[in-house]
Amino acid sequence: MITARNLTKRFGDRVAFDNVSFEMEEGAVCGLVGSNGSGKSTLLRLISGVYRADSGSIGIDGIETFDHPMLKSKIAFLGDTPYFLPQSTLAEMSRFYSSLYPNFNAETFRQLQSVFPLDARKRLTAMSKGQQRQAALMLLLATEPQYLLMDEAFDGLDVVMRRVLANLIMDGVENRGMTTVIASHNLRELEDLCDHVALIHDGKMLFNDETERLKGGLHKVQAAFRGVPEESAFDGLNVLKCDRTGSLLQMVIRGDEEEILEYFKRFDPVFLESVAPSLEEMFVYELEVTGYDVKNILH
Amino acid sequence: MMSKTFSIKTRETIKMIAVTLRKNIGLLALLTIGLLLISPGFMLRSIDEMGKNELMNHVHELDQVVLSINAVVGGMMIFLFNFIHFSFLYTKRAGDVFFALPLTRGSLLFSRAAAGFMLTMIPITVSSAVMVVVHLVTGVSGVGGFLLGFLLIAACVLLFGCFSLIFFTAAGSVFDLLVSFIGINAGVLILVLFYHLLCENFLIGFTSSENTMTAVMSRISPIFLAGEILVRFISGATPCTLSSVPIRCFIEWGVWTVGSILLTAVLFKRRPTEASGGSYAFRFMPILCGLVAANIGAFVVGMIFSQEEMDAPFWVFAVIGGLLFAVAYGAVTNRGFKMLKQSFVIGGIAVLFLAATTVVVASGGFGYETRLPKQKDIVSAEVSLPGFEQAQVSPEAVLALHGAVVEQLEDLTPAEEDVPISLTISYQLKGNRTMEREYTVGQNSAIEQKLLAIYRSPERIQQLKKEIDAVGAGEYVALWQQYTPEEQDAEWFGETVPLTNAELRHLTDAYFKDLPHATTDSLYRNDLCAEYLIEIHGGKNADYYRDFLLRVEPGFAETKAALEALNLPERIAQQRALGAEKEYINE
Repeated sequence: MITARNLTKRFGDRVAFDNVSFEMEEGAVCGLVGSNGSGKSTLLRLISGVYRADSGSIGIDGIETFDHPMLKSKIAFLGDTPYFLPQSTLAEMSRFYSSLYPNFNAETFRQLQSVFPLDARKRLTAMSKGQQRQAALMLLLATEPQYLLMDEAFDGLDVVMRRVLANLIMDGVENRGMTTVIASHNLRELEDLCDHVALIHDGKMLFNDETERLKGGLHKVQAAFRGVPEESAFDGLNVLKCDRTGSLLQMVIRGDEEEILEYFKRFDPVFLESVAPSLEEMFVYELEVTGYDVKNILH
Repeated sequence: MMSKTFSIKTRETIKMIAVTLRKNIGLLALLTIGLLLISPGFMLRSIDEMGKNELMNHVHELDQVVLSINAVVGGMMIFLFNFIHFSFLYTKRAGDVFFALPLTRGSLLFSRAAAGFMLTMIPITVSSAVMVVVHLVTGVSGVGGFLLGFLLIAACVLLFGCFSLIFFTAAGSVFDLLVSFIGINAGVLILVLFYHLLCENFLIGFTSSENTMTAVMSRISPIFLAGEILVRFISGATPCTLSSVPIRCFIEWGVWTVGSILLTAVLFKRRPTEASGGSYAFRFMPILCGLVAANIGAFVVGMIFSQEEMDAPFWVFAVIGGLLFAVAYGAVTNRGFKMLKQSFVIGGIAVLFLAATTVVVASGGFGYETRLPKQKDIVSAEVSLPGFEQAQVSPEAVLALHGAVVEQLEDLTPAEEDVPISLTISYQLKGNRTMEREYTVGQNSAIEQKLLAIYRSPERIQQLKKEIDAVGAGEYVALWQQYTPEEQDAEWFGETVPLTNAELRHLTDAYFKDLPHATTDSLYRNDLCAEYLIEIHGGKNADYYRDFLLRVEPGFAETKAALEALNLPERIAQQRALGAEKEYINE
């Protein structure tokens, strides 16, 4: 389990994390969201032991990863821009990783070569951004990590490769119980993949929970009436947000879907529909209640 | 819990070294071939040439050339490989990969540094090994000196590599690495020169000998120290022996090497990864660079605008120069004038340091000017004057002279009509310590009397006798005589003739009888006081070669009689005529 206890990290006068504590469950796929400069990449670097916490601790099961080779050998960290040894090819880089990562699996690497169509003898610097990212993913996944940390995981990948990556992640979760943390400023990208999501802003972790729990009991109901009832008519429901446009009423309500729809039918709607809100909308609704202007945080 | 110690895991370190060596295999091959082309390639050709020209006794000189080339190549290579192996410190994306590797920081540092050292030494070792084989096969010279040289090069490469790692670790970018490395290493040497100049100007008795400066520079700069060790070894005795290098150099080498390793280890362990891309990872480095730059600025600007006098204008411009250089360096480091306040503080401290040093030096350097060694600590003492050979005399006599000088420090400055002379007093003290003072004095009767006592002293005469005896029989004596002794600008002429041992003894015995009657003229005026100058030169072997100049004053009757008895003026004249004849024939 990834754990942080009273984590504080400063860059000069700027505080990146201020006394933050959290846990990320084993086998979870966690989306780390926040605006640019919110500290997503910093958090990944802290987890992977690249950065050292100024105070508090961050690591695996309460053990700090910084300067801990055994823990680091279980972690694969892919930064926002891949790096390879100068003038190296994929084959050379695989030898580099296989020398240093005890769990590097040549068979897995061979299988990944059939998934990612890259020339192992071509210089990596001569490859496109997307190909370089694929190469980096191949190398890291071949180390069969327990913890996969990716910064802007899908950046530079085409639609097909995004799906391949998602499948590989799910495969790792199912077969090895791999924990995955994906940092992104784009919530939509993470929506289908992540079962956990955490929001970072201004040196704090504002939210860290299961996606399902976030979704649980949250419904976006749209209804059209001949005579629109007063808002107070819905006081019996747990309404989080209400928008009225002419005869159209749009509400975000927490509760049982059937009960909510039954409640609406009492007012004889011309049109009635319940749709699942997007991850971004859920964040907006949940956190606006707590007083945060989440739209500004996310964009 | 986080590891508090600097741990190096053997297995992972070896793996990383192997990976790094494999990655640089091409460069390694290129360097090895390059060095093999020089030695033995070029060297074999040179040995062949020497054989043809019957110069085989000069083959050892080729060893010196090879060692010099290997030393220079080694220095350049270790810096290059450190640069290649530690450049990941300066880019975030490279740092993400290297610091995420399953290695401790200790292993990462050690493996990259060790790989650099190996990559540097492999070509040198291969080339040296082949040279050793060439020596053994041709049998032209021994291999002992060459092997010692190889070990010294390895030691110096290690020192240079470890010391440079401090800069690699402390820098945040390649640009700042180069600025700090060049700035501090060159700057410190420039400052030694400047402060040496300051001491020469203000500190009475300060020794301005080359040795003093070399000793200071080698203590303050490990790069200079490495250079000194190798230069002393290579240009010392032939064949090269370790005795050419003073023991203090080896002690300083040990201190610097261990110190550099420890400091680098501490810095690397504490280095914030996020410093990559910034100027420096640690604040001490830009502050140090700023102080060096500001100090140089204060000196240079002050001197330029005050015609090299440390008067009021000097200090005004020193302040301006110090602040200007500190601000300029700050702007380079901070990529703009972002930390002006800090730059002004650094500039101010540098100028204050210069001022404080000047005050200390001008006020006697904490008793430097008046300090006399304790008699019980003196092992031996020497006095040097232009007028007589450097002489080891009784410590009491030298202390008395030194005491007289110290008592008259205020009156030492030569008057306008005086011919200033340089007087050097040096002591060898217990515990292998030395003490040396150098004075420029004018005519001063108190000092003159003490000097004359030393000049005429039986100890000095005895020592001179012993040293001339050691030259041995059959060596040469030159007699110099003025054309016209009355004229002050007259030139000397002379010729060299060989003397037998008995003749030499006869001449010097006569001179030593006259020496107690020497006047102060012989001490430190010029050679015009003498009627003749007897020059004795020779030696038992290449390691012992001496040259003595004996002044024969007009009152030296015994010596003049001996010259006549040996018919030396006549023999000199014949030699001269013979020389002229040969010259004529040659023409």
